[in-house]
Amino acid sequence: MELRDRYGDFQARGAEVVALAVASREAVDGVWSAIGAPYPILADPEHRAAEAYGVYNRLGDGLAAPAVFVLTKDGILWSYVGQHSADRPSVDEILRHLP
Amino acid sequence: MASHRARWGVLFATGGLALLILLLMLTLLSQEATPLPTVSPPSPTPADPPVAQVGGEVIPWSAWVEAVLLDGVMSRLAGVSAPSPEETLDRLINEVLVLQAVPEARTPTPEEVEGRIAELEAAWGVSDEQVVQALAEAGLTRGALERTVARLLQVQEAQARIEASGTPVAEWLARERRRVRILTYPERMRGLPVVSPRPTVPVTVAPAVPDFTLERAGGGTLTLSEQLAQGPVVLVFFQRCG
Repeated sequence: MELRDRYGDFQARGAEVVALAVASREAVDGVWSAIGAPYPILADPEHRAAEAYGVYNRLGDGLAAPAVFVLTKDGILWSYVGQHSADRPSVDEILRHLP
Repeated sequence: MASHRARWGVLFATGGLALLILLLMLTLLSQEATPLPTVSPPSPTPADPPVAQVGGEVIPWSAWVEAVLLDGVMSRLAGVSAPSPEETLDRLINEVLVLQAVPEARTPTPEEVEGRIAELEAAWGVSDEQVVQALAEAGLTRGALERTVARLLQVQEAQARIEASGTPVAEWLARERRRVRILTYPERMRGLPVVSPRPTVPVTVAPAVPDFTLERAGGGTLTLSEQLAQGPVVLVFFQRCG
């Protein structure tokens, strides 16, 4: 878990990581305790957030496509939407787009 | 002394022209590109839907709207006709292609960005206040101009590296546009705010970040807007929970 191991880099930049999955609260509970994530993991069982960000069912699996959005209260600074399960940006790439 | 000043004037003008030429070049190049395949968007339409997808990267509606408005302001200041919204999207797609190919292209420093903006203002013969005013009339802030100029400088460097590898950028772009999966959603290219010279109501450029409140693992809920009030947020969607 590169994201977990490098969480401190995000904190040092004053940013919070918020993870979500189209899954039940019980399912994310299990993952959260299994990996010991230092950041919040949210359950989006009705995929409202995934739809609002345009990532729901992009891969045709009824789930959220792997995606990263860098946000401030003023807007979306950067986004990356994966084309397959393993397609996600590196932590360094995400950090480059933080304000 | 006078000739010294004149020389600076020429330098500034050249810098400004180079930027405009880059903008125009990216636009013109894309006119020769093959037509893009279009697809129906997944429903329902999200608050800030992508207007295009280039490889794994999306161009959100808000980014495109900002670019269209900014192109309008810059063209007006430069005294040239503005590109169409479709041409602006083509330019954004080209920029993404170039930056995806040369990810190591350096992000310019704030000083370099300010230097280039000063060159542009000199080339356009306007003050910074006039630029800020023109931006405000289009509902934009100076920050939007700074971001765009920073990105253009980065694109310029990436293009220079592509040229240095022996392929003209035009040829390279034509090849990439055939190779990379590019999708556009023309039916989403609407909702452009109408810009009047003296708006009485502030024009909304980017829609607000879609907000949500969701249950969090371990108990409790998290509201995105409350988190954003404390600083930037990196929102990470996981496909699978495990």
